[in-house]
Amino acid sequence: MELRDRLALLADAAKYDVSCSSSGSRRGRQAGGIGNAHYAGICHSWAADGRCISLLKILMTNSCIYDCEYCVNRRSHDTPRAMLSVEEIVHVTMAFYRRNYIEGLFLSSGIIRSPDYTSELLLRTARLLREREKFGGYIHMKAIPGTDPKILEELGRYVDRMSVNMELPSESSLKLLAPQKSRSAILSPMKFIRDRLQENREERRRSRKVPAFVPAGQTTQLIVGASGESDRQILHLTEALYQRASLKRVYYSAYVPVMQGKHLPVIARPPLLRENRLYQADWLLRFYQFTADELLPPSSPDFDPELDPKACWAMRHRELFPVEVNRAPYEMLLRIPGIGRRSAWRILNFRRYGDLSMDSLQRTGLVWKRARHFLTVRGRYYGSGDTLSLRTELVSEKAGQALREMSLFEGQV
Amino acid sequence: MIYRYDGTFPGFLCAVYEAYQDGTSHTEGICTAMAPGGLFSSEKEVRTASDRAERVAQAFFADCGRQAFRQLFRAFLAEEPGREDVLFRYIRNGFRLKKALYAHHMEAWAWTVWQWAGKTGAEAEKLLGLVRFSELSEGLLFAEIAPTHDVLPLMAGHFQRRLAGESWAIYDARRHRAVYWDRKELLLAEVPERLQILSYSGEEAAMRRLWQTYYDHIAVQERTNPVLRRSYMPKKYWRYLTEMNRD
Ligand code: SF4
Repeated sequence: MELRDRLALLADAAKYDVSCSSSGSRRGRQAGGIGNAHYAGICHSWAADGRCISLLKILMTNSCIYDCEYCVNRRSHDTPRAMLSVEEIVHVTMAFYRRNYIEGLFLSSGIIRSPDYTSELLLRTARLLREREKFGGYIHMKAIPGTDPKILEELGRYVDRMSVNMELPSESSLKLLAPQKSRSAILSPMKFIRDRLQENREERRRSRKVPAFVPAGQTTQLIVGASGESDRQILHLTEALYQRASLKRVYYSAYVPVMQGKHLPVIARPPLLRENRLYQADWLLRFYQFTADELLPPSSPDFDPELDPKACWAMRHRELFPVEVNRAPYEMLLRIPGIGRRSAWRILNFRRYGDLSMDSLQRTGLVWKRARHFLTVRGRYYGSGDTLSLRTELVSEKAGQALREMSLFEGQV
Repeated sequence: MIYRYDGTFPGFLCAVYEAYQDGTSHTEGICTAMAPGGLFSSEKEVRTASDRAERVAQAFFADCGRQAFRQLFRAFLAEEPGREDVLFRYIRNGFRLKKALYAHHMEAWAWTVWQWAGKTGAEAEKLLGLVRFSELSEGLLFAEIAPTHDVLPLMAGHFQRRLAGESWAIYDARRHRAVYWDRKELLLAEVPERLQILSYSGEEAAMRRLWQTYYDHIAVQERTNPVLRRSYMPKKYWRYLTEMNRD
């Protein structure tokens, strides 16, 4: 097969992995080298599905010795197979990077021969890029479960980010859909990376000469809708991953029913709304000081399809509102629907120079139509206190709001 | 008095310099040489001198701080109509308020400046990703853009750091200006007309096709969402994007 056809095939095989972020690393350019990492990440294009393209995201090969039921690359799937050589990957990465098509490479692979054999090939690619090509751009690679920690250790010194995909949110669905993978096989590289990250941070505190290990941290991905977990179960898992495995990001991928299998659900379209709600909740966990239990208490284990998680929480806690915008602490401002981090920060900023008026409040960029029901300005309330009409009003905003809130994370790098 | 300057940032600062020399109470406005004149006002042509521009810039920087100066520069680059008078007012208030200028940033006169600066910054940031270089036969990497705001000066540093070992040029087709990096120095030059026929390197066509192929295949069909795509990547940028132009 020609290079172009193989690239097409291997991009197709990689596209269900949603992470494409190029953020979190400050790698500088090597002397005489090319490229650096931009801490906030840069999007280079947006694909027809509206998702940001930041990295050249491909599989090295879509051949695999495993047979995970949801996966297009599974052994039993009758599909054309292809492989890119290490040199080809290096060449295309460099050529794309020079033309400013990409921030770097995100390389993953089906498992050929053994996890170690596959990881060795990934390692060779990373090493060639960094050492021979003096490439300073972003590299994200998959840590393949079952790989010898020694190889991961070495790989971690060349790449900016590593990820191990959980894919399935519970042990039982793993058993069902990915019988060759156990939860511990997935968790052990994750733990290894976490521990090495901590050690490395210590070592680097003592001496700057110690090379950084995975400076942009590790991430994972969960498939939503291929198995029966509730949103609450998933969000609790997310919380644990952030707190205990110190992950940088958890990504969610709405299950796209491309494969058929006896344990797979029959659905017509990927559950995009559910995925969207999970991202919103994830965002609230990371930046708004919410807990999983607050967002999805045992009494409501699934997200409301009509209301976003923050509005839902506020509706359940009407007794806490309205709050005075000129007095409320930052944490409380963040909990008001229609006020985001930026507007909360601006409110604090403005407050340093006196009370906010309606006029200056508008300049903070809050969504007044939503926020007005939950706050007072200089003691005056502008909202409607009636629960039923309030709900309708928050819902009717949906179309515009969905797009706006989606932009919070979808475009994120 | 109306001051006419050449439309550049240093030129504008020189106009400010002269306005201060003459006493700002006499200033009626600052505008470019092209702008229509007032019927009864007296006018003055401003000569652009880098030492004068420098003095105004440094005084403002020292008085009001780095952030305030940055906002001033970026707001100027936004090229909004009437920018001279808005920015002149910002500068005058700055010299009066000094470091306290920041405390007033939510007042209408300063807020406009912040908004303009924000627009320029956002477009520069977006274009850092959307710039597409083509490799010419001599190895030069060449890109073309046509931004709404004058973002070229804000972008050059990024590519200088990133592609220090390459020679590259970015041409602003709207303003007929280019930055050129020759591996040693950045050069900003007026380029009235770009060469119509460029000769590309041997690999160029193949790499473009490869990128287009990748672009097509990385999208998930089941999630096609043209509205979302356009909201991130507005159509006005498509003209120079390799993936949005097929031959
Ligand atoms: S191991 Fe990975 S590539 Fe192989 S079948 Fe399972 S999910 Fe697919």
